Amino acid sequence: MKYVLLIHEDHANYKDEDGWNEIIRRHEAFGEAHASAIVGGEGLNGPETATTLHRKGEETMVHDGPFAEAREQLGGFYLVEVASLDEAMAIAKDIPFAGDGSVEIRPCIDEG
Amino acid sequence: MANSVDLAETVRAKRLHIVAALSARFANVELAENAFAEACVRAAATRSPPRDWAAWLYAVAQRIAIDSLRHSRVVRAHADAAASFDEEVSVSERSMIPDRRLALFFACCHPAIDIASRVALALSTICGFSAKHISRACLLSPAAVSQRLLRAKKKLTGSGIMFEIPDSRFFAERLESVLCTIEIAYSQAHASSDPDGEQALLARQTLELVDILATLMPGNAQVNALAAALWFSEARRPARRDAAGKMIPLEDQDPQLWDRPMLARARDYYGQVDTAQDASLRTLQADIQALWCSRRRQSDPAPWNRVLARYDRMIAIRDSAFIRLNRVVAIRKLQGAAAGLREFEELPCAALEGSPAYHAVGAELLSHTQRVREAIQAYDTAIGLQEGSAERAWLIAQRDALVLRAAR
Repeated sequence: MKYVLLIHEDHANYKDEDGWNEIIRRHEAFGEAHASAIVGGEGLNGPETATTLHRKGEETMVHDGPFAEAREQLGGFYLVEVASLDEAMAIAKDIPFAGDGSVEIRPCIDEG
Repeated sequence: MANSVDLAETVRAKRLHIVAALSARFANVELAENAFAEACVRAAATRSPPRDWAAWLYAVAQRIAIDSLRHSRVVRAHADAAASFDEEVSVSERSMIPDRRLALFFACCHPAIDIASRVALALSTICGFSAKHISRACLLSPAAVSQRLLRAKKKLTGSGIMFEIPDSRFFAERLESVLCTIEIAYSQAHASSDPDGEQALLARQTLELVDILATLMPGNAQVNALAAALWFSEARRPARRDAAGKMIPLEDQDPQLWDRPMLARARDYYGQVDTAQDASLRTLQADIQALWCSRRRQSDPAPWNRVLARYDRMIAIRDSAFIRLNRVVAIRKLQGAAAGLREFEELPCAALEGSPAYHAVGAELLSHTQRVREAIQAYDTAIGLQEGSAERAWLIAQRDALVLRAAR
């Protein structure tokens, strides 16, 4: 089964460069440790760079900012392929964080 | 006529077995339960009863499930998958129903399912209790329980929770989740000492759950310890309140009133637990329950010394505010109120503030150390927090006696 691991955290955790380099290093280590399961993934630029399109009926409105204003924002994701939710949860537990945060584990629709 | 009796008996005795096998086969509890229910309806209407009702129900339910999958959007796109289902049905009709009961147990108690839903799901899917039954026991509306069950079953189907006994990497954590589910169900049931109310009903349901688990996992110390502790605990229910409906503290209960068959059952489980070999919070808890339940009559001394030793060992394993609170009670009984109060004041108040027991223990200690006004206040706080009517009646009686004493 494929899962997306959506990483939500406070972008302010990455303000200083040392902290940033440290977390990149830890993500690399995480990627190596779970290389057999990881299918893809990206880190995202900060929520201030986000553009959201709101669709209402036929109308589309452009909003400057992320989908929802919140302290914790989507900061990156991994796509993993594993046999069970247990395995997805075990991988998600290893995702490095600079501060507090959360990982939403979402199964992808099974195409059979 | 004999056949309808056979059918009813099979439905009762084999429901879990069949629903578990179907759930595992289709990785879908909702589908399994609906197909089983429909198969039962068809069974009642059939004119040619089979020799083996269980095999018949399993085979028919499988066909019903496959038909319903064919009609759903998902499988229409995968006719091949449905065809392969079909071949397997005819084979399994002649073979045994696979035993996937424990796998279903683990799935229903998966840690990714909300704990309250886990309790409802276990009672409904494993024990077969109706949403109405569960709602009365859990003090929720039947609609709320149905809603919760529906959501939980959707989660079971779509999220990659496996209908398998977890392998060694996940086994300990998953078993812990199963045991916690049962513990939480029982603690809800135990909170009230009402002998016939909804909580007593939930208690019986939970005991059934733990019995099933113990049958499926014979020899597991954690399971046996939990089963022992729950049966010991429940055996005391007839002695937990007086004629006026007021709680009777454990130490003052009349052991003659305890339920003998339940005690015997508890001892059976406890006999399979070796605390010396396998000291854990659960086995020590079972130990404490066994110590209390070894009293024959009210005049037998309370086992505070040995109980205190168990609490000390529990704290060495995992320091918990609630175990410390229990330990304070043991110290108070053994060394007096002043010593108890000293220990009480060391307790992590933030973790315990919401617990009526915390304030009740404090009140008793204060009342015996010349701090009557504070004691009355503490009883008032406890009364405000206490939900069970018998427990509240006891607290009110304690407070009123103290007020009277202060007035003299």
